[in-house]
Amino acid sequence: MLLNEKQLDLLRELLNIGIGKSSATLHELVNRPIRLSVPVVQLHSHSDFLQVIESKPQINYLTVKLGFMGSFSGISQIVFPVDSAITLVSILTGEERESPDFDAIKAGTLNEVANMLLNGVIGTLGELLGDHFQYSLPSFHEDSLKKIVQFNSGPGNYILYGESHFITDDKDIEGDIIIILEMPSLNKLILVLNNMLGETV
Amino acid sequence: MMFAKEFENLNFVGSGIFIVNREKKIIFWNRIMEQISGVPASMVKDQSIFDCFPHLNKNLFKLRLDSVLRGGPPEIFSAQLHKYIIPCPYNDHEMRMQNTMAVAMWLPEEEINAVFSIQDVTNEMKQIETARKMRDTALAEIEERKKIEFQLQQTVQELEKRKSLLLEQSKILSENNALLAESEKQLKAINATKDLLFSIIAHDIKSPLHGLIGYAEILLDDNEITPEQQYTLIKGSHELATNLNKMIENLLQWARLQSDKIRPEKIIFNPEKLITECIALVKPVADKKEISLTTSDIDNNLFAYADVDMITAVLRNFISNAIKFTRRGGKVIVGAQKVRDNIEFSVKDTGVGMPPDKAARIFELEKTKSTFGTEKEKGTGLGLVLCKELILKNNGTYRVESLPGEGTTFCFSLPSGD
Repeated sequence: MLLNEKQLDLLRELLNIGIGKSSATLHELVNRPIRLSVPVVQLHSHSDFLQVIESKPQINYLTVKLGFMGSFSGISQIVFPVDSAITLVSILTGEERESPDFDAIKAGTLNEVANMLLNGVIGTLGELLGDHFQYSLPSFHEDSLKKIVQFNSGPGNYILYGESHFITDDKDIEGDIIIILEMPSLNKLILVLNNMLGETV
Repeated sequence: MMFAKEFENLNFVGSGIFIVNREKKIIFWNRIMEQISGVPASMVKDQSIFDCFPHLNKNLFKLRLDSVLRGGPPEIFSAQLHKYIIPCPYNDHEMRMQNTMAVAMWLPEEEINAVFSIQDVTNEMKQIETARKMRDTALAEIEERKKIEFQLQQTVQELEKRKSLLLEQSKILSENNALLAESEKQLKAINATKDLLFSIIAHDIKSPLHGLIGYAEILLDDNEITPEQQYTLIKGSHELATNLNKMIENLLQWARLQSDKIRPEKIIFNPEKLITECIALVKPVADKKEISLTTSDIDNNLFAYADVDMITAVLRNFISNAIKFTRRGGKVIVGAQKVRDNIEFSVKDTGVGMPPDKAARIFELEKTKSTFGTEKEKGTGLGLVLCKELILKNNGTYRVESLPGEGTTFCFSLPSGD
């Protein structure tokens, strides 16, 4: 196991803190009560994660990607099944859910919301590491989950995977947070977690 | 040069770009921003963004701007949620719709600016709005068309139902018409028969009546008539009256048969016994003409099912006819045999016979039919017609075989009583 239970628990807490910061902003933005949470966090190798996503529905996903570079580098992404994304955008904008198509305007909205969440997560990690990151521009695209991962990751990488939940209007919409890290970054993360836990490697 | 040299190249970028420093002052405003906003760079240079655009003076924007100015991740302000960050007129009453991104720009000595880039999506939104309207219109038209198609379908179904009903009624009408035609035909036939019958009756009643009247007048008027002549006249009158009476009786019976008032009372009887009885009744007439009246070899164990009185009348009539049309010294043989499920009666004579065309009409009522026998015996003309009716009433069939000069055989069949 790459991370033990305590480390995973701590990581889950940190991600929830980051997401929690975003939910306040999102709440004010859309003027609707929204609860965000990341109840599940896992760490996998690249090859293991490809096995994990085999069990996911073989459908298309929408993803917003934000790269970050510093002492700790990687790519953060949040992925939604297309249908969930359409539902989320219609709830946030208060517009009726219309066609199953995801047009450019809806893509812009999802881009903002997803970017807000990723900012919360990566911002928290940055603060945790006491590091300033350089960021890539957020980008949006649609593909299968396997291709999304394969495009941004490769053997030797590690995937920090969290299930995020948007709860609003009695609806629970799931999106997955994927943070792809190279080995040095993972080692640094483990070091920081251990320090926080008061443990030594 | 209005702005810092390092920003000059941003004037050649195809999007609206402006830069805000840590003091929240606008330190760069490119040419595209001037064009789309209508705000000249000179008006905003080194001014607080919140003074230039007071609508941005709220937490939602300020906190996110602060995050960027701290070196945080880029912030996106989408057109759908914000409409615009910097108001840029589209027309007199609408602003342009924008996707705006704010990114941290790191400068030497940890100086960070926030670079805003504006992507105009007004046309895309208008196109989407138009497409939605067209889609809504198309959907409404499709819905309307579906309604019309449904109504049409219902109308077609209704029409089909009515058509079926009309066809049914037409069929009934046709059947009724056919029945009416048949009834009319039958009525015509009945009327024709009635007319024919009346004309025959009129003739056959008038002739003997004239005869009777003539004889009576002679008897009344002629004082010099001898007793022998009186006897002859009276005998002739008796004969005429007898024939007339017989004809009227036949007529009445025929009328009763036509009106269906006579119903056969069927029983199982022995043909051999019946034939023997009939022959006994008619034998005196045969003996008078020296005609041999016998039976063929009839099986005593045969049984037929019919009204005995009616069949007796038929047999007597056939035998009387055979005697009438057979010359003196001839033969009449009466027989009965089983043919499949029926009993066939036959009366065969060695008489004058008749041509086939007359034989074919022998059972029909005709005005010009000759009824005089070989010794001028007079007939009513109704006998065979009545026989036919009586046979048919008993579910029987009939036929005649005859050739001129070779005699005649009358046959009729009845259901077996086995």
